Amino acid sequence: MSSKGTSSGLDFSTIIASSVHDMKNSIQLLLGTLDEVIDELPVDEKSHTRVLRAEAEGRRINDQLIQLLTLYKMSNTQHCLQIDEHCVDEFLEEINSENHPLLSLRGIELTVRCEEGLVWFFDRELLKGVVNNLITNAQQHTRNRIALSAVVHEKKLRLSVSDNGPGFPHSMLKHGDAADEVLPGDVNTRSGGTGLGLYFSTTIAQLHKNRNVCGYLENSNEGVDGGACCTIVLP
Amino acid sequence: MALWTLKNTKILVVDDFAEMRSMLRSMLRAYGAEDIKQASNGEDAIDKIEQTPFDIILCDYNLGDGKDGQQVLEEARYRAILPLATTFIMVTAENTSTMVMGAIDHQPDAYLSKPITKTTLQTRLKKILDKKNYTKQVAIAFDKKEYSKASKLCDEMMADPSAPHQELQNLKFNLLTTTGDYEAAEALCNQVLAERDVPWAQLGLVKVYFSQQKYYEAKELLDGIIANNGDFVAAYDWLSRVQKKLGNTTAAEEALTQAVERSPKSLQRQRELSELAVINDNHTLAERACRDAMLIGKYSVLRSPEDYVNYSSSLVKNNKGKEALRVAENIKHAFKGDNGARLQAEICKSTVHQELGNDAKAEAAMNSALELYQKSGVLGSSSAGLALARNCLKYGREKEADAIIKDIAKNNHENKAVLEEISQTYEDAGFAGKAEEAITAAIDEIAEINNEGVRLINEGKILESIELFKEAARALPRNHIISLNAAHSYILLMKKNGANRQHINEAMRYLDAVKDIDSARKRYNSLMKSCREVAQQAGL
Repeated sequence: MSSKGTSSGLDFSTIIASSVHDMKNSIQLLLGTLDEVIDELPVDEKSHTRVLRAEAEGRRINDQLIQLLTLYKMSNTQHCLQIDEHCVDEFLEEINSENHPLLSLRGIELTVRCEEGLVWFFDRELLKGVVNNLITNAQQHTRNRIALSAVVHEKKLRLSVSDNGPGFPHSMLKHGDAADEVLPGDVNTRSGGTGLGLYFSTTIAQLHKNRNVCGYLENSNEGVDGGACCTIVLP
Repeated sequence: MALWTLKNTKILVVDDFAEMRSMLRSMLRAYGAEDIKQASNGEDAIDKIEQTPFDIILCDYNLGDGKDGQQVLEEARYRAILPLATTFIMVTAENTSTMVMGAIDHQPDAYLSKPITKTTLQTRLKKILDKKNYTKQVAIAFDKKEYSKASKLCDEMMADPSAPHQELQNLKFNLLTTTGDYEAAEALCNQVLAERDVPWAQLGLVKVYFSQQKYYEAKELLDGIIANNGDFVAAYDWLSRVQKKLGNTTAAEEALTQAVERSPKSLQRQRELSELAVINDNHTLAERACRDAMLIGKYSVLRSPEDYVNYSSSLVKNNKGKEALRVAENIKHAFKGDNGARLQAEICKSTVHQELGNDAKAEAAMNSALELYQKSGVLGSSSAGLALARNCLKYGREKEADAIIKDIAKNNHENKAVLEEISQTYEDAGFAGKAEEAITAAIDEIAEINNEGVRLINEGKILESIELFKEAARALPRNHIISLNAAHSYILLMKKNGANRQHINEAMRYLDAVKDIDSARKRYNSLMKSCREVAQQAGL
C-alpha cells in the first residue's frame, strides 16, 4: 500500500479520499433509508427483523471501512486519530441504542453500566468500531447477556465488554505487552475469524497515547457469571 | 421518543447532494425541526447565512466545485454574518482531524462524520448544543472585547463539573493571549499539560514563547511535538515561523513544505510558503506555491490581488513572461470594480512588460498606474509601491518615484528590509545618493513627530499628544513607532483619568497593528500589560 502515484499518474491517496467520500454518502443514504423503513414497519412484522439485520450490517460495513482507512493511513505513517473529550456514558448509550434492537430479538440482553457524566479522551469513531467488534464477538459466545461498562481506574479509562458465555480458552488469556504480538492473519480461536478485528482493536488501543503511556487490550474470564470479558484500557 | 426538540430552531443544511439534504431534513424533522433551509453550494450557503441568523448550520465539507465548507465558515466569520450564537457543524466524510485539517483560526463548533443517523443526531447534536450554550456567553463577551467579563464568566463556568472544561480552558487561553497576559497563559497550558497531551495546550505554549521572543525554547517544544506526532500540521506552521525568526529560512521552508503536503488548502499557508521560497531563491517552489495561493484564493474572501502579482513575478523569474502577462491581465477580471486591484494590475503589467523588453507597453501601464495612484493616494503595499517607483525611475518619472519612495520610507522608517530595498532601487537606477536622503528625511520627520508628542506628554497635554499621534498614524498607517506612541498616549490618559471601553479599544487597535513586528514586541508586551492593568482597575 503506497500513496505514491499509480500507473495512471493519479495519486492513490486522492483516489481513496474521493472514493471514501462517495462510499460514506452511500452508507449515509442506506442507513437513513433503512431507518425510515424501520419506523414505518410494525414491530411484529417478520421483515422488521430483516431490516434491522440489514441496518446492522450497514453499520458493520461503515465500521470496517473506517478500520480499513485507518490501517491504510497508518501504513502511510499518516495521523489517523482524532482524540477529543467525550461523555463516556452517552457514548455507551449510543452504542447500546444501535445494537439493542437486533440483540433483543435474538434474546440477548444488553446492559450499560457507567457513572453519569464520566468524560474521557478518545477517538469516538474508532473506539465505537472497536466496541462494536467486541459486541459482535460476544454475541457469538454469550448465552443471553452482554454488559458494557466503563470506569476510570488509576488515571485510565477501563471500558469492558463482557458476556455470560463459556469464557476465553486459556490460550487467549493474554494481555498487556503480549498483545503487541498480535498480527493480522493470526487466527482468532474465539471467533474463528481472520483476527483482523482483534488486530485492529489492539492497534487502536495502542494508538491512544498520553504522556508516553499507550492503551492496551486485556482479556479475562471475569465477565458475567465467569464469562469472557474484554477490556480496552485507555490512558 | 425525542427527549428534546428542535422545534423553533432555525436550521440550514448545506450539501451539494440533493438526496443527502432531504435525508438530513427528514431526520431533523423527526426531532421536531420545522424551519429548515437548504443550500446546494458554498455561494448559496453564504447568501442564506447573510439573510437569516440560523441556530444550527450543518455544512458538508465537500461541496463540489467552488467554496468548500471551511471556506464558507471562514467567509461567514470574516464578514461577521455568522452570529456567535450559531452552532456551525462541519460534516465530513472521514474521521478528519482538526490537526490534519489545520483549521486553527476558524474552527467549527464540531465535526460530525458520516453516516449521521438518527441516533447520532440525538446523542451528538444535543451534546454539541449544550456545549455551545456554555461557551456562547464567553464568546460573545470576548467578541465585544469585554475581556475581564469574559474571563470571569469562564472561571465561573469551570466551577461546574459538567461544563466542557477543555473548551473553556482553551477560550481562557485565547483571552489571556489576546490581552497579552503571557505568564498566566503559560501557567494555564502547563496546568493542562500536566494531566494530558492536549494539542491546543502544546501549541499554546509555543505561541506564548513566540510572543515572548523565546524562539529557541519554542523550537525545542515544537521538535518534541512533531517527533511525537508527525502529522500535526499547525506545529509545522509554527516551526516554520520560529525558524524564520531564527534566520533559518531553509529550515523554515522545509517545515512549511511538510505542512502544505498534509493540508494544502490554506491560503495563508501557501502565501507563507511562497514568501519563503522567494527568500530562498527556490523559483520552482515559489511558482507552485504562488499559483496554489491564487487558486485557493479564488473562492476565499481573504483573496488579494497581491496573490496574482506574486504569481506573475514568480513566472517572470522562471522565464514564463507570456503567462505572467496573462495573470496580470486576469487581476482586473477577478477583482471587478476594485480600484486598488486595478492599480496593482497596472503596476504588475508594467513590470512584466519591462522584463520582456516591451518598453512602450511598460511605460503605458506605468502611466495608468500613476494616474490611479494620484487619484486614490493609496498604494497597496510597500512592494507594489517600490515596483511602481522602479518603473518610474526607468522611464524618466523621477519626481513621481521620489514621492512614492518618500511615502514608503516614512511608513517603514525602522524596517530594515524595506529600507534596503529602497537603497537598492535607487542604486539600480543610478541615483545612489538619493536613498540616504529619502531615508534620513523620513527618520527626521518621524523623530520630530515623536519629540513633539513627548513634549506634549511632559507638559501634561495628553489629549493633544493623542491628537498628534492619531493624525500621524492616519498618514502613516504602517509606521509602528507612531502606532505604539498613539497607544501609549491613550494608556497615559487612562492612567490619569481612569479607563473606559472606548479608550481601551483605541489603544488595543493601535497595539494590534504592531503585534507581529519583531522590533516592536517588547514595547507591545509592556503596553499590553499597562492596558490590562488600567482595564482591571476600572473593572472592565
